[in-house]
Amino acid sequence: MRPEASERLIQDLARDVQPVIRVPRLRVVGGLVAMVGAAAVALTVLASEGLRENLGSLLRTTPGFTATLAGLVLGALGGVAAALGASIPGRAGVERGGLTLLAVAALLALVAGPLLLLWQASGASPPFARDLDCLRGAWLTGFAPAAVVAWFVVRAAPHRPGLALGLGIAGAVALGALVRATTCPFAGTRHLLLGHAMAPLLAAVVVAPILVWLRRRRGPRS
Amino acid sequence: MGTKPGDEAREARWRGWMASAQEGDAQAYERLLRELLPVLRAFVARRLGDPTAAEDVVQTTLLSIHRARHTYRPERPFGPWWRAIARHAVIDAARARARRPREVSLEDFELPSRDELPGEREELSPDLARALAELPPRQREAVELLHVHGLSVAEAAHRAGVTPGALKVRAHRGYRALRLRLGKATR
Repeated sequence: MRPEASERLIQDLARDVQPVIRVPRLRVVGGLVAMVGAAAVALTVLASEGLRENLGSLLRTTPGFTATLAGLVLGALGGVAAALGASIPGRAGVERGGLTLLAVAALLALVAGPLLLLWQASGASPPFARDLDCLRGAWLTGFAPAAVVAWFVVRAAPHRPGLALGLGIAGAVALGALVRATTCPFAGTRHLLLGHAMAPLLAAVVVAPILVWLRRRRGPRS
Repeated sequence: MGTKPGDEAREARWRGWMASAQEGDAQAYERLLRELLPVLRAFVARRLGDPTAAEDVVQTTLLSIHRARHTYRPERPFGPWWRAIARHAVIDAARARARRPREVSLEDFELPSRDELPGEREELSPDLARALAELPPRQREAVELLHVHGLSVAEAAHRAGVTPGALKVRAHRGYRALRLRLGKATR
């Protein structure tokens, strides 16, 4: 192509330059997500009948439950970190760290947890409607932190917006699923998998494409 | 990997210019992009291995830098920031090339060469001018920017306010429609 076209483009861009509002620092956004997430968690615990009574004994005696909860903790941290890192050029280290946590989280919550629960035969699952209740509860609790992450991703410059949004939503909903799992009175492999462990994944798959579509609509015309 | 003292000075200079550009300082921005251009060209050419496609990727990167300039934080180094944007542009270009066995080029559309198409619309042949006028506005704009005004894809995309990919699609449709119309006119 023509090198002089690049020179002309530089002139155009410089002529076009306007003052911009910088995106906030990643640690500020991370802190904001944590604060909003903590508020959502507190509201959820208050709105439900507090933490499940047998939480302590379940954590001690049921490795599958513990693995699922640990997976959700790591998933929340990893998903949010990966989304924030993926949204700013040059922050690949944060993204990679988040993705590593997320991979460990998926292994714990979606593979190790259910297998251990099956192996331990940890009781029957409640009716399917209860799975949907918990799924909905996890989504509701994760909504506010997910909105903060999505706001940042949409405002920043991710290379792959769909992936960044999906990671952020998965992280925020993992937090919701974690809280829901500690307040829900039910056990059972299917319930823990469908109602809790899969909530982040399903939210990311359903919501991220919608947000990407909305982002395209408000972006430059094509 | 150690950095040379010259690199550090340049990094500090670019960081300052970028911070000023974020405040709306056009001079600092132009200085930054002009100094960056040869470094960016070398970076892209090294990774892409195709000098003809490299200049398009360089321009796409310049546009991406412009669009993402609000994401740069002056307390962080500038190098990793622009290199990440350039790397993404190279990856996108390589993927696009892998998807398309052959780049859509002006030659595919049997249009007259650029020499035969002067810069001003009034000087076009009456048939071509009429056919061009009948195109939908977006397709006409794409064809005019690329072929009549001789801009590169990235530059034309910037002028039209669309992505380079979208501009290529519009131009492709425009050329196809032109070819159909011109074919009918000469029959």
